[in-house]
Amino acid sequence: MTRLDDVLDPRNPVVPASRARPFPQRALDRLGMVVGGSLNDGVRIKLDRGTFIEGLAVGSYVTIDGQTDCRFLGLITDIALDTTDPTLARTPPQDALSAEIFRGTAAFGVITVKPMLKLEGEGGEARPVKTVPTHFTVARRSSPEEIEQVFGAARGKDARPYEIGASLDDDKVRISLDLERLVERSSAVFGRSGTGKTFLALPLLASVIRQDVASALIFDMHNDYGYTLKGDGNKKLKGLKSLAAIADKVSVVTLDQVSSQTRKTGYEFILKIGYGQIEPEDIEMLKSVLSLSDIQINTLFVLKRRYPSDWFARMLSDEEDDGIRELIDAGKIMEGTFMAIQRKVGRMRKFGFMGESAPDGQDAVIRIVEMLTRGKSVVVEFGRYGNDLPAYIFVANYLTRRIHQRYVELKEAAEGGGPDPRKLVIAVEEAHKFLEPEIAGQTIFGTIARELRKYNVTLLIVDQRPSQIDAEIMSQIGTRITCALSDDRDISAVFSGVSGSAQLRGVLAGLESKQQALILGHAVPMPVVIQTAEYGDAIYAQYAVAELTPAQAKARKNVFGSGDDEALV
Amino acid sequence: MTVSSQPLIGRVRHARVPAFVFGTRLPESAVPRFGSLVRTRLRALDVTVYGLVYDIEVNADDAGTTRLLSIAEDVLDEELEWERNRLIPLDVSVLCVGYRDAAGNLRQALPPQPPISLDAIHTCDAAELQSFHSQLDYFRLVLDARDAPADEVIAASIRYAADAMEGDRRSFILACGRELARLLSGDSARLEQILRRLQ
Repeated sequence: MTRLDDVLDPRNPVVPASRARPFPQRALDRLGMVVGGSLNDGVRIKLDRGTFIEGLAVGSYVTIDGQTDCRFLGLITDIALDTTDPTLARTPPQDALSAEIFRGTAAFGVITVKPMLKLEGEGGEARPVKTVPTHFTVARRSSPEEIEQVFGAARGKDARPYEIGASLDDDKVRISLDLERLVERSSAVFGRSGTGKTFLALPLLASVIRQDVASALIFDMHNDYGYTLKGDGNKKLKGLKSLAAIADKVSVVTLDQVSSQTRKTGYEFILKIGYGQIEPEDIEMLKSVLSLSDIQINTLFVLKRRYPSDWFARMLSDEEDDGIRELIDAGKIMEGTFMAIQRKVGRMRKFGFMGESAPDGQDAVIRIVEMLTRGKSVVVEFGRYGNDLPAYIFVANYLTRRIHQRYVELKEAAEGGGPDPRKLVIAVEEAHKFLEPEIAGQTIFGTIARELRKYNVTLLIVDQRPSQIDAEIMSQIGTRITCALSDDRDISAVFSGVSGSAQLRGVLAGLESKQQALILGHAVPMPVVIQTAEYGDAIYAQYAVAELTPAQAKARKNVFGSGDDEALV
Repeated sequence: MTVSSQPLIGRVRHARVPAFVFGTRLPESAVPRFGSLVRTRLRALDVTVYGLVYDIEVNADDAGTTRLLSIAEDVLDEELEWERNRLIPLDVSVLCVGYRDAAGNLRQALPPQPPISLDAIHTCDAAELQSFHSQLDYFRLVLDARDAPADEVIAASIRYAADAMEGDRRSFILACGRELARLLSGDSARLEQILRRLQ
């Protein structure tokens, strides 16, 4: 039976307030009711006339009350307009009254909601959804309590939560990642340039370090993670080493002493690589950036076999080398090929962090591994070399290959009864340069991404071109934190290997260009759009510690260098 | 519900469950209007039947005076006026759109029985109009009526009821429009024709 009061919706502004009756609290958040859809494509919800469609957003949470006491929690993946009669679209109403009558009745809004979780009873456990709510069940905005239950810090007793941001609908509802799950598999922060990838990755790593979930090795291409980084308007912001609560757990290693001194930032030691420590595999990684051919790569291995300890120094030397001449004369290598290698690899002579021999015979790898296994995290600052892609790729590959090898040994030792090596997260920017399809099969980063947690080493990829990363590796990335992307191929790539995620494309495309991100994968129970806080005081406050006594401050200064915390904002 | 004492305007001549015809001889000013709500009573069941006027037929007078006058030349105005002021017999057709049962419940559905010949017909006052229009289920009965000009009847009935809504006219028309939009969701052309008649 249709009652006039039902037709006269009190939320409709044309109804005089005197006739409006109070709706029950729960109905205030009502959006509409389920009218169709599927588990794969999402359920279609016809919006009530009183629902303000312009107030909705893709990525918002919707709860659908099931027939029993269960609730379905889903994400708005699409918002559309529909009509009961297709001719209405061709002959729209011509007057205001008709338009007002049609709106919400014959012409109405429809949202598509992808059900993600099923909550059994009040406060019940959230489980992956395996069915859909039935026809005409009521959909409403998810309550802060429901979102808190799923994403809040309190979920799961073994979880290591990190509050990465706030819900899109309510900035008081905090969204947490499970750090244990985050480091279990490789993860990624994607986003086009200028969307704040670093400002997302930095506090994430800080939290991993602070909660002792894993050690981090950060290849800091642009000198952002160590002491300071530059925010909007050249504002100087705190890096990991400047966050009081974790400063002791972070060491900065520099490749460029001059840059560190100019920037007045401290460092643990200067990383030097001797020619004798370089292997052909380290150069092989540079195949695409140095345009090396397969024959040229093979030549490197021939040189290495012939001159195991000084093949690289001989190759770079301008002096006439009888040994090399012998190889050429014997037809082992071709002169033209050798000359081409010399010319291409010769670019590496200008790398100041490389030399005939490492100072004092130091092995940077041993020192870094030692720090990582002791529970320290290491930021490798590239200084001016950050803008030199071959330098960045070379060093990242050089260190990672050896550290990974060491972890494999430690893991094997652990299987024989030794201690399990501490988890390690390797953060790498411009990751597509290491993981592009042509070389991903050969590089250590490809191996790590594929091996997952086998050896307790995982990657944190920070990149703006996910489409250029090998598809197989993309499918192995557990957690994807994605800021705004504009290229369609990049958007598709983010969802590759994630079943049923096609509907989330609209959510990703709708992200604002700053301080919003879509998180999906292993570390969150269901995909979530977050609003992140501006990197600055609010985040510093989480990493503040009680003020140091003068003696402590002095001791700290002696150990870690002065830094310039005072100048930071 | 107490039925107000509105004046008798006629008596049933013949009836079926969905519709009935009553005869009346009223001065021109008191003739019930197309689309207005009238009521009668099924005494045996203690039921009040409501209906909408959908046709009014002016009968020729038995003496044939009107017929003669309509073709006569040189007729005096006084003669025409005298003839016009006579009580002219009318047949008023009514579409049944609901009833109030013995317990006072309003049901916008066809009545259990048709009214009996010579049952009294009354108009409805503003309070009855408001009360009857607390539901809009009768729209379907009108829209489905075969013999009546359904779209015109429904538009006229809404306009009459809206006038009785005491300053809430627009809200009422909006509510009626939305109910019509729901019922005619697959026929927006017809819907729009009706909506135009509401303005």
